[in-house]
Amino acid sequence: MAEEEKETMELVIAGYGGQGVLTMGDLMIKAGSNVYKHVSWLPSYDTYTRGGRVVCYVILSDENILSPLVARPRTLVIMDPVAMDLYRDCLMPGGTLIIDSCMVSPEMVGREDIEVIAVPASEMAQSILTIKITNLVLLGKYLKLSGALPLELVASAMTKSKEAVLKDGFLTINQEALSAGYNYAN
Amino acid sequence: MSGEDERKLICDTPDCINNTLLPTCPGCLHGVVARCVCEAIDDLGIQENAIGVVGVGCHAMTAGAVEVDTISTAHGRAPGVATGIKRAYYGEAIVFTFQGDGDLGAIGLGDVLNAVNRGEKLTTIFFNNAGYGNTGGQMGPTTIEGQVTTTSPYGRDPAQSGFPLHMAEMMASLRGCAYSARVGINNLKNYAGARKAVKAAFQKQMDNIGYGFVEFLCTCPPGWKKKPDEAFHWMEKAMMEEYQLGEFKNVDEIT
Amino acid sequence: MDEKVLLTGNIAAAEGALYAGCRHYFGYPITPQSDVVEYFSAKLPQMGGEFVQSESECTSINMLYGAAACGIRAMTSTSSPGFSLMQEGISHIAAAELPCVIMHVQRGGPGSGSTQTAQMDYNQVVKGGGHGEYRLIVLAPDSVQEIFDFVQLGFYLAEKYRNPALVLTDAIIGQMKEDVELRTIDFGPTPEDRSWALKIHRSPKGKSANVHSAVGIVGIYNEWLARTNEKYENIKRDEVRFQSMFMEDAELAIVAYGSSGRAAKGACKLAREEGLKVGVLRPITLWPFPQPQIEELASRVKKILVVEDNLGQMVEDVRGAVEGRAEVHFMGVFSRHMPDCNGMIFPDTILEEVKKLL
Repeated sequence: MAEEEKETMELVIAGYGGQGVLTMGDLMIKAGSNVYKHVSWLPSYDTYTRGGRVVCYVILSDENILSPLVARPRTLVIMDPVAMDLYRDCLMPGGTLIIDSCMVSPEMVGREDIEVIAVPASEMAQSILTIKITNLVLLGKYLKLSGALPLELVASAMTKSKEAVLKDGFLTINQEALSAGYNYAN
Repeated sequence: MSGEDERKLICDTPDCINNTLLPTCPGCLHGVVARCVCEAIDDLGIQENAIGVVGVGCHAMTAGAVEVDTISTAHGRAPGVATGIKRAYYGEAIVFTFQGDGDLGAIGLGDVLNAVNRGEKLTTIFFNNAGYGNTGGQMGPTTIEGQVTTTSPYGRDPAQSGFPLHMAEMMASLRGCAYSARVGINNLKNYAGARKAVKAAFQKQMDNIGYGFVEFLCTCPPGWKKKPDEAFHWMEKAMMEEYQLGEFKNVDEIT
Repeated sequence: MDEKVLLTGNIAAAEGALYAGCRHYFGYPITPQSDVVEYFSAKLPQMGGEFVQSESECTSINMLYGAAACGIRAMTSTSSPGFSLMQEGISHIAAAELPCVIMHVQRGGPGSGSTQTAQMDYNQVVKGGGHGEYRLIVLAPDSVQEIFDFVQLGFYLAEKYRNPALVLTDAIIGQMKEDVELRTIDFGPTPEDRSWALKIHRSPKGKSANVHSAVGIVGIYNEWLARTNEKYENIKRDEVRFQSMFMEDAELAIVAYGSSGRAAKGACKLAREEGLKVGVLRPITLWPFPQPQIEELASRVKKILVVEDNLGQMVEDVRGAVEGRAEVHFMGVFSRHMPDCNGMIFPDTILEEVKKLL
């Protein structure tokens, strides 16, 4: 059976250091490399280890990825007001902006030509256990909206994380956050 | 009396000396240091695994006298290069550096301090002749107070350019150092002590204990603008007063 | 079957070295390549290798000098300010004609500059940087796979010519993750003569090896100059590498290397989708520079656009090769998407410039 070439997925995630921006992207490519022929993950961040501006460019594609830079993404995830100021304009007209509405007010967006998906991700994460898993809530929502990857695949990618050896309990909580975002209805 | 020659050989050249003519100046003691190191290498039987590393200065030419594999490095960088060699052979090579006072005490002070502090199994032969010889007699870190050089024409003034550097004592204060001594080669008794010190410093490396360091007090007649005999006496008087001979560290384990 | 894994460019560099049989690494932490140092510190002790964290890049390069003098495969890595500190040692290694690999992940300069991406060390890397007459073989990968491959190629070329090789990346391709196929590449045999190397278990009767960086002082200067000059000419003749894309009918050629090469290729694809006749020539070896290829290019296209993340360095070499036979345009740091150190040159910005020129 000839495999049909899948649509290329380009995602930009922006926030500040410590929010898990890069981890979100990392989970995408870990899971994505099982489904797409090519993946790329490009981080860019300020000098400080915590609290600096951080942005992550992710591409999943069946074609060769010529440039890992995504200037005009169709989907953008924004996790804090500074990132909003810096990145809102790059989103393609008609594109989708996913925001953590606890951190960024939808009024800040100021664009009429895009769809804004406001998720109270920090609150949802806190109600599960901790705001540290806010990124996973947002990632869940992105997966639902984009259909880029099956939820289960991304959930299982977390178990492969070498950097953070997750204890059983934490893994469950992380997966819960991902599902909560996936199932969140605006 | 028979026709046979009954003279006995009482002193020969060391096996591992390379009989190239050293371009050292009249009255310079660097060649004596080279002989001392060659004798120690012969005594210990380590010629086949010994590798010499030299910096920049008169000491570098002196290394040509030792018949082992050698490498010349940038000024002051011998301890880093020696580390690379030691690690390349997983500790099997016996690596020593020849370094002068400008090389080791000034431009390469950080290099040697860190090599000793890492507890590298290396041996450093330090030529202290109280100044820069190769470049024509400038002030060095070990130039003594009041000493006139081409860059301290009014005598070294501590208020302006600090104090003579006591390397052997400084090395001994580092935990990675297993052996440190300052030796003289101005008479046979001291020479015997120097040979013993070099052997001890190599032995620390061979036994995989830690860094071995031997500081030789040397002369530099042209640098000091003195005749060879005057230079020799000045070394015995002024330098040995400033730089006490002795063993400053000798341990079988670095902790 | 070959293993395919997701790695950052920096870790791919380390893996490339390990696959090439390199078991000796000397390094010092500096952003954005500290993960290389960390990776070797974890891996080498487990593989029977030697890792030393030096007290400065100055000492890293000298440790490498010592190890390379023993004829083994050894490596260091650094980023721009650290690379400046290495210049003295590199000059000595080149003088002593020793094979080794230096990994250089560029960040913004001058001074402490930024910790973000830039391509501002082209001149320093390609034209020397240290004192005296020497050249490094400079390989400029543009993907994580190429980083992995080119570290291996670097060891091969370094040994083939007894000359240090440098793999030049930047914060973009050093830190990005892509799929990498892990395998040892066989480039062919390297010279068997190891008589120049420092040895142990040597016969006291045999001739000793003397590695000299003081080539003039030990009385072999003219011989050395003639030999290295011949070597450099051979490398220029035989080792130029480049990638050419969509060049057949191109009216405008983009010349870019490394991460800018990726952006240029992205721009080229966008341009072709709009029917614009644009091609890309990506120098892979920055030294030897693909001068003949760019000379030839100048007779085929009307315009050349050089893209590099700096104020204009490689563009001078392109102008030198073109010799006025085509228009040479430049876009650099001021075309970044943000007016600060987080800025990068995007394919879309290059496309805009291409449209202005066509």
